[in-house]
Amino acid sequence: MSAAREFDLELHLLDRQVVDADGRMVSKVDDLELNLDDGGNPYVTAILVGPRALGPRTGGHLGRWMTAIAARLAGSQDPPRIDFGHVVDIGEEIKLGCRVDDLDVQSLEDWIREKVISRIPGSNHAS
Amino acid sequence: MKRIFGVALGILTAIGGFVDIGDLVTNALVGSRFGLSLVWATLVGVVGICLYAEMSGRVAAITGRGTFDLVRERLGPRVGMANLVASFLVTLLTFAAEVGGVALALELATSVNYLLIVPIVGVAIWFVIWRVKFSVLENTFGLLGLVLIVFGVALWKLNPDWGDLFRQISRPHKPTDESLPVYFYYAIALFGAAMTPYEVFFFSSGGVEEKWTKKDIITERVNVFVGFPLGGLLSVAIAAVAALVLLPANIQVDTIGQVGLPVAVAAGKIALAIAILGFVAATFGAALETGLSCGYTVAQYYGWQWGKFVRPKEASRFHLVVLMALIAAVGTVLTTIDPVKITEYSVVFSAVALPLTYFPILVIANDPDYMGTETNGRISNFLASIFLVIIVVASVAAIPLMLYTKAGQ
Amino acid sequence: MNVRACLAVFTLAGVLSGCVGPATTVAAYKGKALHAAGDALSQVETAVLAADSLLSGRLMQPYTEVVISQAETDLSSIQNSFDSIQPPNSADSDKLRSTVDDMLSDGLTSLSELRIALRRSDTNTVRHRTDALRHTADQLDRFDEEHS
Repeated sequence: MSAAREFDLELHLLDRQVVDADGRMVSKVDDLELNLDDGGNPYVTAILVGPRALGPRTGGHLGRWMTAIAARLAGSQDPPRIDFGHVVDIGEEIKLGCRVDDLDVQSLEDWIREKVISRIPGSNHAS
Repeated sequence: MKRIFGVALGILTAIGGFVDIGDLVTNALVGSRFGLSLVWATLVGVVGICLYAEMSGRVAAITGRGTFDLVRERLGPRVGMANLVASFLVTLLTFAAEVGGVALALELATSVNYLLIVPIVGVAIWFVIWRVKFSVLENTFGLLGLVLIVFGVALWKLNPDWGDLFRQISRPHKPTDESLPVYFYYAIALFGAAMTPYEVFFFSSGGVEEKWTKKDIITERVNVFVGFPLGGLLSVAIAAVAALVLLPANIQVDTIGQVGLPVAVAAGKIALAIAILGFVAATFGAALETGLSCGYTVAQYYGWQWGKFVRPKEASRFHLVVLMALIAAVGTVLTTIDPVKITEYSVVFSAVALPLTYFPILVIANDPDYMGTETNGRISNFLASIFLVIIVVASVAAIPLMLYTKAGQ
Repeated sequence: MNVRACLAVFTLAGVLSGCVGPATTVAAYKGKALHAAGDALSQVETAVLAADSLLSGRLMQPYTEVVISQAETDLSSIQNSFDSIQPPNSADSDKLRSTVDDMLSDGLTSLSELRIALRRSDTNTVRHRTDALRHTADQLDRFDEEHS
């Protein structure tokens, strides 16, 4: 593991755009998974994405509602996670070293692509 | 040479794309009831939209990212969510109004009932969003909308007393048969019609779609500062011909058909046919913009892949949101609520939502972390701050005035 | 919580601003009558302007048909709204009611016949009905001047 860097979570990480190695947008950093090292200092172990991660941070009725629906659909309370080891650069955007298809964090996108968008002719052409 | 062509195209597109159903209806309505005594509100609105469009375009060119992407990052998920809900709902309402507007304009051309035309319009809108290239989409409807200059021609043919017109514009006074609350209600409506929130989302997202960079800032500025005011002049022309033809005849505009009558009276059938083409182009173009903006706002907040610049398969959620917004818009019109009424409400609610949508742009455009050396200058900030006050006043007064005047009756 | 409250205000605002209340006092009823007359005048004058423009070759047939039909629909709903208001118990209010109602009915009859003649391309009848509508417009205008 390379030398650790110190970050202000809110300033540098939370709500930043995550992009993959091809420049594709993955998600926002909806929440972070933290762990404590041997010295008792917290460090980031994963980026959490999706409504189950964002809901509690947005708060209010809308936030709780978002979380509940997502949990009901997915069958679990745990939000999808991107292991922080995948992160190669932290700047204006959080760059990952892998491609979004190799992770499994976009179940809604994948489902919609499969069931709806792919079925419409022309879905392979950008304009 | 190519550069000049590009700039000219941009300006013409900005002029033609400025007017939408809100401008058409509100300016004609106000002209027919208040003459030119509320033109000041349109002019203030035009200055405002120029300021904020320039800012949001500059933000897109420097950061390469869309408005809502940055709003959530800079102001947090809570404020971002409030912003999103308000912006999305207002944009969706405007989308429904534009879809209705296209159908009504086509009804005038064909005398086929507009409810039968609406589903076809819906399919056409979706098809264009799905298959037509972004720049082609923008340029085509922008240039076609330019034919609304026919309103300027009609104004000239009516041979008005120009001195009297300028006097009415420069010395705003409330007509004796209208009350003060109604006067200010319509000032707010005109303001909301000129400073539509979706314009900001579309302009900045469009900048990303077309891959603007720092070099494009000058072009973008020229488009905005030349194109939008000229577009605003078109709005004033629409109000002026209504004031000259409809006001003396005691006609108060509440249908699109009445909006075109002054053109026919002044310049005949061919001019009216051109005006109808302009109506269709302006409203269809605005429908595309509002539809795409519904997708841009949601996708950018959540960090989904968005945009027409990638294959639809790679931005499935974005395209689904646009499709669902379209279905909702078409559905709203099919409930047979008068699209002109939808339009009147959409401009007032636009005014209500303005502070939420513009304040974040102001914050980001001033942030050197995002903008580097291209933050707002002192003049921009001075003007933008004045406008923030105007926007907040309009927003706060809008709903009470709407209730008190029963939506301007 | 805040978003909910906002949505509630939006909906309430939209609903309330469209409501029409029943008239109670004589002055309020007169106001309603004037309002109805003013709205009707707008519809009648629109039809007159459209028909005149068609007759002088400045307007297309489909466009005119749409404008006239819309004016007819709107005038009809103006009359329905006005007739449904309970007038206060006074002879003046009753007289107001019948005066306005007569003008609205005249206008509506002329408009319907105009619409029919238009679709049949019966230019003569179009001309006559337009003149009749012009007459109704004058009556409505005079009513407004006398009572406001």
